[in-house]
Amino acid sequence: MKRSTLFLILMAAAVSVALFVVKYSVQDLDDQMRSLTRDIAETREGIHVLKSEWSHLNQPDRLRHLAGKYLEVGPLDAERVGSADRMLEGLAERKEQEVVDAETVIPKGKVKP
Amino acid sequence: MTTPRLPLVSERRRFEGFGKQALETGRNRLLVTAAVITIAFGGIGVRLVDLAVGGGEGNDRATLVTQPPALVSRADIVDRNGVVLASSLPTASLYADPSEIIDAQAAANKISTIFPDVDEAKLAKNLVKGGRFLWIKRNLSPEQQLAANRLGLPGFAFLKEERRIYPHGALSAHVLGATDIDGNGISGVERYFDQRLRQNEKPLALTIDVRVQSILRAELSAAVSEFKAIGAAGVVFDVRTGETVALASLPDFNPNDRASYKGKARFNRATKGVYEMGSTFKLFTAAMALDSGTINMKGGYDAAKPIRIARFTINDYHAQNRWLTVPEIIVHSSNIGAAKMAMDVGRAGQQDYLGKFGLMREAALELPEIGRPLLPGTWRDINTMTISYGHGIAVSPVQLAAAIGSLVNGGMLRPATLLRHEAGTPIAGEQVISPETSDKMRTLMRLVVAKGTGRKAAAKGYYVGGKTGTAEKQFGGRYKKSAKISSFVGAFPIHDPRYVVFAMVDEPIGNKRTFNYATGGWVAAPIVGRVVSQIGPLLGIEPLITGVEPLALPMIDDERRKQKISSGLVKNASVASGVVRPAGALKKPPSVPAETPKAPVRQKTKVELPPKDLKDETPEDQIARKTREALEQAFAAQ
Repeated sequence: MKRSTLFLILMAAAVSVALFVVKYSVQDLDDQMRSLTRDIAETREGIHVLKSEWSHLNQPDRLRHLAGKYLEVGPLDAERVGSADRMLEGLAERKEQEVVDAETVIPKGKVKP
Repeated sequence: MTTPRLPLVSERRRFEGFGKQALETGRNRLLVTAAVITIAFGGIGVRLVDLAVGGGEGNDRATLVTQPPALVSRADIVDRNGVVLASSLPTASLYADPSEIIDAQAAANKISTIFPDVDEAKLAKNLVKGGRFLWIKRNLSPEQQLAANRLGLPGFAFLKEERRIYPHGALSAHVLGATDIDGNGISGVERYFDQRLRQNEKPLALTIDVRVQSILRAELSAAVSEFKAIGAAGVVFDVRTGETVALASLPDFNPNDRASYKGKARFNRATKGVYEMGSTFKLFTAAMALDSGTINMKGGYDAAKPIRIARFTINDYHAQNRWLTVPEIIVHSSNIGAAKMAMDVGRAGQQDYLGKFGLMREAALELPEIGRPLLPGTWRDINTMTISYGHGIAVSPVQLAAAIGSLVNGGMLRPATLLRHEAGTPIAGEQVISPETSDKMRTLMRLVVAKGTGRKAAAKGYYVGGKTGTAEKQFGGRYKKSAKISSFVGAFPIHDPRYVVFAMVDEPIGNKRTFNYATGGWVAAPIVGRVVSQIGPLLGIEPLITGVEPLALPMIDDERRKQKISSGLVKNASVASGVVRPAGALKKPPSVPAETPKAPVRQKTKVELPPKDLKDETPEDQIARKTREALEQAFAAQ
């Protein structure tokens, strides 16, 4: 009878220690989640504000002005727009031209600079 | 039952004498106490386990994983590519609870050091006055909030608020409109979609493309300052979907600071304003005449003499004083020809077609600021005639753009919209003219830019077709010559139109560069040309760089005459240019064609002024060309 009482007391102590450990770890996780949720909300708010700022900084007028000031590129004009087919045609023409050039140059024995 | 109890009974009997009653009572009490204690500890135990496991707050853990709440109470507005046009930003506003303030004077002093615009004396007075709530400053920036927080003043606190901001400022002010300080839409899309913006946190996607919008606005505002105009309006309209890619009205306002703009700056000329558009309406007249079959492309009208009807006289601005074919009527913008064309269609036919083009009712655009077209009260013959060339009827630019769209896109009227079209959903539309008529209209419009009043709308790589319009403004029922509405409506690429571009300048004043002209051809056509050459590559439209006219254009004027003469069809020049000539014009010496070498002349006219030359000609070249043309015409008319 004495032994069984001792056993029960030990068991009770073990269970309560385990219970406290679990409880505190749950509490920690809870805190962690709360702070994560708060961080997420803050980050979302930040993204929301930054999106507006990004849009503000990318005003076409402003970009045009900055590009004119710092870059050597201008707006796209019609000559630089075309379909892939047209580009291939252009390439083919250029190749033909190269072949013709080679044929006309080499027989005359001229040396290219 | 009685047998097992025997010993007990005997025991009791033993104690009977010693106060059995007291013993019984003590035992019962012990039992009751033990039971109560057991139940109490059991309850505590259960609760302990519950608290440790469940956290004491019930089972609400699952709800935390769901969608976080909306950041702000009003959805963003974005352009067709997702660029933010309007957004609500959370801000903090500083308020005070005067009853909690200990030293009002010191507090006011400290507040005014971080917010210079807050009046210290006034604030101190208000704080002393008492009460429970006082706004100090609304919509603080994060830095200001930090500074205010650092003061650590008792009785001051922040309230979370929202502020509507427009990152692009005035760029599409008339489309977006504005909200008041409490976030209620008061104009534009903000007002039209007020409920939608509150209820659905998903961004509202418009049809506007900020890049196109920016180009359109820049070109319009350059024209306004060059021609000292009082305003301008422009529309870029997708003829396939009805989407309004750009919509601008000048002067405009900065919606971030709407309060400081008054009057005209808040007026949307592109949708609310209705104007007599002038000659651009001749396109509708030609379309209804060709579509109803009252005339064909080879037919024409005698425009030799002004029309006198009632007490009015209809004259031509670019008078040719002869018989004109339909293409010539459009190219020379003949009021007389258009009026006669409309009379053949008839009053009922004209009303029917104008109704189909959507010019008799308000545009269905999603804005609260929509102007109702002005129509004649009683529709007499004189109204039919003046409406044929765009007077006596006033419509808004957005209506005009959509109607012109239906002329060039194969005859489908697509109602103008500001809501982005989702791929795969059907597009509303109504067949208003036949595809064949639409083909003819494109040819006519191309002719105006290739050879007529709209040459300045030419754009490198993109063949534009269109029509100029110059209308005098009415003041108290009288037309004023000096106050004009100069406009140009164009479509490109004209062989397969994608967009209609409309530009209108209100009361331009001609300058040295335009030889004091302030007509649609000089003022508005160049805007459209420049807009097209910039937005074409942006919108990914493949240019034609071969330099060959994509449409077969009919011959006009002396080309027609020379062609017929050289092909031996007719011998007399005066007969060649028309069927019947009024007596006054029949004075041509028949020898003229004979003494001109035919072939070279025809060659010259055919290759003359391909659009390529037009674009890079200098003003001097242009004067030379104009002179040459004038001489040639004079020669031809001999």
